[in-house]
Amino acid sequence: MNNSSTEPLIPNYIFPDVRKPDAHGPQDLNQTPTNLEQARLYVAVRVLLRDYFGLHVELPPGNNAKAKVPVDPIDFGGLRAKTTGDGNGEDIERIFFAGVYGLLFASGVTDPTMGRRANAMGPDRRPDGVGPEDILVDDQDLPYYLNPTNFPKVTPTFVIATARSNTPALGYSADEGASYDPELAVPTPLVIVPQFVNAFTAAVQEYNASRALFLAVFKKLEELGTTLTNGGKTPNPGGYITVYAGQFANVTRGLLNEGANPRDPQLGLRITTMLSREIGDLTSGLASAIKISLPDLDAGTTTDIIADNVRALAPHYFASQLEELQFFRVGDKVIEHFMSGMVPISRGPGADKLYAYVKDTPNRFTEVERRNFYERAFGTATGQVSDGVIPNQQFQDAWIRFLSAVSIFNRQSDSQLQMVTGEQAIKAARDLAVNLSYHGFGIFHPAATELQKLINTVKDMLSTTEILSAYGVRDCFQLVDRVSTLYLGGTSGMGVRYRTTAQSGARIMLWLADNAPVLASVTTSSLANAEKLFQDTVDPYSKTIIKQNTLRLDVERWLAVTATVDQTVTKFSEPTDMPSTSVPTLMQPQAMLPDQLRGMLNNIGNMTGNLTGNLNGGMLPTIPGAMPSPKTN
Amino acid sequence: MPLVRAADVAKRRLTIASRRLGTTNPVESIGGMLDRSFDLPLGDPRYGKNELTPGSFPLEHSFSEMMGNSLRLDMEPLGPQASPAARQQEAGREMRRLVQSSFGRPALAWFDQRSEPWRTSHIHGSAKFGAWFGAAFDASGVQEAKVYYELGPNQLNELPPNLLHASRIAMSSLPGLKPIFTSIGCGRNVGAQRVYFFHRGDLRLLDLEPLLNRLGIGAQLPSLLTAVGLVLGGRFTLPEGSVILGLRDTQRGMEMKLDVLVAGVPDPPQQMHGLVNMLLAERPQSQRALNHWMQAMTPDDSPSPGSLSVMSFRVRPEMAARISVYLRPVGYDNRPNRSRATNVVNDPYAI
Repeated sequence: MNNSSTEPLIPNYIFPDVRKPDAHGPQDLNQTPTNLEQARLYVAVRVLLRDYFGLHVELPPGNNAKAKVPVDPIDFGGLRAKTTGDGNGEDIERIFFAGVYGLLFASGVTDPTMGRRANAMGPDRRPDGVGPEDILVDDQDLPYYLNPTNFPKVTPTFVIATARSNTPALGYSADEGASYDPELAVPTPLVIVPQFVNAFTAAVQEYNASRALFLAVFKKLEELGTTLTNGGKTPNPGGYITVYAGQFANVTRGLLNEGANPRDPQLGLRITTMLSREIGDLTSGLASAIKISLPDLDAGTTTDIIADNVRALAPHYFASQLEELQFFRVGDKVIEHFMSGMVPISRGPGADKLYAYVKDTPNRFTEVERRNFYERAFGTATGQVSDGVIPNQQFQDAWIRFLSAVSIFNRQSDSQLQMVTGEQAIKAARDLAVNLSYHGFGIFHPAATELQKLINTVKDMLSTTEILSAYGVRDCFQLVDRVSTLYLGGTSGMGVRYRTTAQSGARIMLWLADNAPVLASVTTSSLANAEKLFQDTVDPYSKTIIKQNTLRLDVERWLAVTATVDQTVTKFSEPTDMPSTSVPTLMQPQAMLPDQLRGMLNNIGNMTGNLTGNLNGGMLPTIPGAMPSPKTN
Repeated sequence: MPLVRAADVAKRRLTIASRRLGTTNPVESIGGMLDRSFDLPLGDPRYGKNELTPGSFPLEHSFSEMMGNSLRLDMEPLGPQASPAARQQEAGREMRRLVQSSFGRPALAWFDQRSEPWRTSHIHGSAKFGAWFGAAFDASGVQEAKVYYELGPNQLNELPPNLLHASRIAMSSLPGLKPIFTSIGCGRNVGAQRVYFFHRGDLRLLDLEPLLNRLGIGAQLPSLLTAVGLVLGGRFTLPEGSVILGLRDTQRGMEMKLDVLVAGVPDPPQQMHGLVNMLLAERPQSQRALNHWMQAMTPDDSPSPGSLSVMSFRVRPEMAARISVYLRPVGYDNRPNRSRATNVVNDPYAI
């Protein structure tokens, strides 16, 4: 303990604007876009400061300490001895680097190529697109993950293609490298263009013109950014010092604009105030110093699509299709025959099931109740007519639009103008999922379990051998068809259609529920998966399907069995605005009187002259002549 | 200039028309559906994509001799972007709500029974419009509510037996008939269902004779010929695309309705309104009612209520030909533009 207490404490520096600590190591080729952008700026500033301004980026040979400005920005922070920055040859140069980097970063000049990308190496050993004034950064000055030579050689080994690809996209295998993502692009050679050099030179001039102030600000930021743990995670005896290069530059610039003196005894307070403006705590700060940072709309929010609500409606859709098939009515009709002794079955499992069904009647939803569910969930005009039922008026539109979009998205090819893009298909899916989610609150989940039980019970009951024999049919759905046609006025031969729509439709809804997080997200990453979501994976050469997309199959089945013509599918595949949705709510804006009653009351009010007072005071208006007043008598 | 919702204009004009005709205000009953159907701005070209009045605003007013003092309208619900399935459900829901609130539960039960094949969650895959909605209002409230369901292949069998039988007779008498839609209407005391056929090919009016005879209304053929011939300026052969035939089973026998689509008739008489007046001269009460209706439906800033779209003639065993006039109301197809407003009456080039 005593020995350790005598050792100097070494703080751990963090420069998030240079390199934010994350899980990606120096040998990791899969860096985030932010890391890559910052690394390119870092490399350019380092090379220019070293080559043109004599910055000592490395320590003299024999020194065991870390390089001042190492090649990889990952090593710019980390455990480093804290010095005062008063000219000992150590911090001064690192602060100089941080200042110039911060000035460029804060000005938005983060791309050394200024938007230009060099191509592969040309015949003159310089990449195509690199001019004589451009500076090509050597490979030894590049971090591992920016150096193209560290990326595995590309060898086409297999083919990944989608149903609408005419030219196969080449897939790659890595002949070296541990964690190589096939989708990762090899970085282009890093080129520093003259425009960037001009901006860099201006930043150096700005720094040198106010070097003292920069040093003072850095010292204060070190002090303000000192914590004992790394965000509450890892404790460090020397503490963690977090300095944002962008803040470093902006705070100093702000102080310069206000004419601050580096020897001002209240400089620390002024730095703190300026930093508050920079962070955005003070809205009265300089607008130019406040960074625009739009919020992530997905962060910390519950999405519009509640998967459980969507999932709860799948059994209801399934039941609604069986209702169209008269499945439940047939069950009731068979019971009616059983009760009146028309079914020639006696003691046995068939009779037991029929009897159990009769006895359980009070515990089941009635047909009217079921149809109310269908009306609320899917807008069918079959429920009870009352003000209490708010039908889902948008469902039919959202449904056919989603199915049409998926169908057309799979049928079109790259050779023609795409009628439906992946984002449009996702939009149609999102509209439908949101619609179902809004209407799936309340009783739908418990009712779904009840309906599921009912379907199984009726199917089991109608599949009993004795009952099938009694009606002279071979299976449950033949029985439904026969009883429906003979006794219920139904149409024969509709079984396949409704069974298909029930199965496919319910599966489509379950797919929406399973993919709710992807559909609800508004970030671009979720939109990149449209092909995986909706399409088969097809070998472009043999045209064989490598992997079938179950959603596509269900969609095509539904459209086929309902005889939906191509004209309809094409028409409704176009995206459209979803109209506002009426949903049940507890929030009543105000107690509304019917117009006629309102008019009548107003007339009475005109006669008495005090309608408002009467209504508010709870007194009924006096109608002249209706009752003699005691006073007048 | 702010956009004006077509629904707001429709509601305002219906309100004014109802006051002039002395009927109840339709907006009180179907205001919600008007809002949902005409939510796009006035003059939006998308309104033209409809099957009720192709190329025009999907709202139609009509005058019927049988309901002379009524405000009648037909419309395509939910606007041009809705699917036929959604329209079918919307029309069914509105109809049921209106029938129950206006005519009571027995009427609703009758309607439910008749409309059940078209209120399911499915519609045939080649459906074009799904359903239309119609209503008539008089001084006492809703006089009649009606929904038109598009007929799919093989859906003729869903008709009630009498109407199905009459339909088969019609199709055997006139092979060019093709069933296209059916209407189910509920009134205060009685409901009725009608089936409509589109006639492929030219129709000679005299070819109707076998059909009328078999339906028991052959005696009314002369009156039908007279009415059609007079209104159409002596035309007794109707070209393809201009004829829709309707059959309705009433308590007094089968009723046949011949709808002549004016747009399908080449060179229709310019003074058709005058010819209609001439026809109604023998029934002065109907003539007065028509003129009153025309005045009531005419906006203040327009010289006419709209363009005549359909002339309809109906005959029953005990009733000679009676006419109905359908018109596309003026003023919905062009968005009002204040800067270019002109007095149409004083326009020397106005027709």
